[in-house]
Amino acid sequence: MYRYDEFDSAFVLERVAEFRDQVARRLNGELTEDQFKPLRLMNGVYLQLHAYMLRVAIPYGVLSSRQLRKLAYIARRYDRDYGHFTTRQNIQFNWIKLAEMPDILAELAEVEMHAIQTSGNCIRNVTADHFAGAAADEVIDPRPYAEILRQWSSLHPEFTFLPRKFKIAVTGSPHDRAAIQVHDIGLEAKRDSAGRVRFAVWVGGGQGRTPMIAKKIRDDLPESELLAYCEAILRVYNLEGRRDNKYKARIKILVHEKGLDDLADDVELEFASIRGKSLDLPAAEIAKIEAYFAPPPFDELPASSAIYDVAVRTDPEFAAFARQNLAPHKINGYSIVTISLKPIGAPPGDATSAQMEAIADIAARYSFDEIRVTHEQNLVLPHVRLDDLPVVYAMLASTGLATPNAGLVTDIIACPGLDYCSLANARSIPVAQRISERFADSSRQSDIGELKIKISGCINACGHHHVGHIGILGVDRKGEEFYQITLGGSADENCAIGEIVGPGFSADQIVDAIEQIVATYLELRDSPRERFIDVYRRVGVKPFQESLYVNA
Amino acid sequence: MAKSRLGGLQAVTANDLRSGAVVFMRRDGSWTDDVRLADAAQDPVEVERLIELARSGRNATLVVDPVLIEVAAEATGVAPIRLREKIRAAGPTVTFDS
Repeated sequence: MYRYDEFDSAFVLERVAEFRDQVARRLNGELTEDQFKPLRLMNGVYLQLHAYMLRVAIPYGVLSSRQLRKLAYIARRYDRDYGHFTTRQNIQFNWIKLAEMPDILAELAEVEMHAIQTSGNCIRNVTADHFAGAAADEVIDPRPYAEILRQWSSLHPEFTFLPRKFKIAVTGSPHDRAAIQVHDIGLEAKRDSAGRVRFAVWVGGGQGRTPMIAKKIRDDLPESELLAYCEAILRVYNLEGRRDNKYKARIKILVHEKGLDDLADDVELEFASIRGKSLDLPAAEIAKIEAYFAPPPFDELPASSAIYDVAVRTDPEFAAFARQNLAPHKINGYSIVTISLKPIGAPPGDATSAQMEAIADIAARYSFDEIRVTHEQNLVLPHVRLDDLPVVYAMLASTGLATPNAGLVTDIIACPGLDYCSLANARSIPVAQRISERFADSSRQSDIGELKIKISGCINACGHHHVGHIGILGVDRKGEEFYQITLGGSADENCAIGEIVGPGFSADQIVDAIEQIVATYLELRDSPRERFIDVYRRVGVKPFQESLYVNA
Repeated sequence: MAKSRLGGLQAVTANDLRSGAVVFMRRDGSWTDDVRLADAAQDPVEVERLIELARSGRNATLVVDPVLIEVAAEATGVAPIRLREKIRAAGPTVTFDS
């Protein structure tokens, strides 16, 4: 994986020293809260309901064992012994003391990590397919491009005060696991007929109070022009994006109000003035970055493994795990393992220090030292030999990390909600916990099949409810929590925004309502192979409305 | 800052500057993490005095964002009314042991 060069190290260490001084001046009264707040936010420090929260960037969701051990250490030493993995492939610590922040940032710098650009109106941490470099269906590894974008966007002076935050996601597979169509810029790396790398560039996607699916602005962007073209988009947005109303300030609104064609004209004009100059990516530089992401030394193995096959035949629990939490690897004899951070009834995305350390140990021994964070709030061991899967499974199971529910009804995304977040209107995590408990039975889950439930505690949609097969949005209705349900959303290459099914439900009713929707799906499906989202696309919202509100 | 528009019994809450912890103000301007020990007022002049005190002097280096919240007077002491403030006072409702 990528290692910091001298520029990276220098700016991260300088920032730690600068922030140490700023915190000291805030604590002794030299800085007022109004002066200090933008400075702390530039370093990922939020003030939430109960405490300060530190959001640490995990570039494109890639971690080494050493980094994960450091996160575990921080959770134990400075927090309440757990961390929370987020829908942007980051980690948040919920109980950090301001006075200790500079020490924590110094700890992070030791393992080449920081919290820069995890807040504020800048280009945020770049996200990518969590199966990058491993997935069988991958055409191009997106990580080198995500890293190039990270280097370009880090502390970019021109884009430090954009109209609003800006999120870029990259995939290199036709099956989109990075939700690129709900990002400000979504990039799909692919090959043209001559085998050259080209990018499909999507612009203006996003969730929040005005959900929009991105529009494709280019389909054939040459590899060398990636940065120049992104810079052109950012320049047009920086100048023309609205600054009068924060709810209309994202680039999606500019795309919507101006129209894609006019925006594309402006971008091309800007692009013409900067292309072929300093932002052109030389092939040698791309190769240099690619070398950091060279495949690990895979063994030459047969496509099947007797050890694995025997375990599947003889251990039903392992078989259930294998069926649900493994994904096909591009190299024979290897598999991708999803570690579910959604044990039944637990808060989605939380991992204890001990669990993080256990995963770091397993990754060091069995996955070439690599761990990935998914935007679905799970972790991934990207490269595990089939032969090693039974032992890896046993190690995961011994620390509560082998829940066989990846992609199932209990693999729920939930934002922190009103239990932690100062923006929230309703709780998310307890709703996720109750749904998880209701559907705890593993055979029932597996019968229901793929079903993505996503819960947000406010309209900002950190829980991605708009793109959940079933989305749940918490609202405050006269001081009471209410939950609005949307159906049919999807974050993949068939991106769709969910449709509101009808009036909301109280906290007492919401789990029954979800169960009713699932029951309706089971009645409507032609066969167990027809997934919830397939049925929804076939029949629409109406049958679900009828069964949900039949007694209303 | 706008004056209170809440009406009813009110108390001042904030977050501790150093730790971020939720704190509530007593009449003498000191802070407690126990909402039951907060001092509340209903008279608009007294409410105004409380929030002014919270925003003045050395409090700038003790707490962040002091605000008024609606509270009720119960046998055990002051209690928050809105769900958000109940969660702030008591901590997350999330269950960790499953």
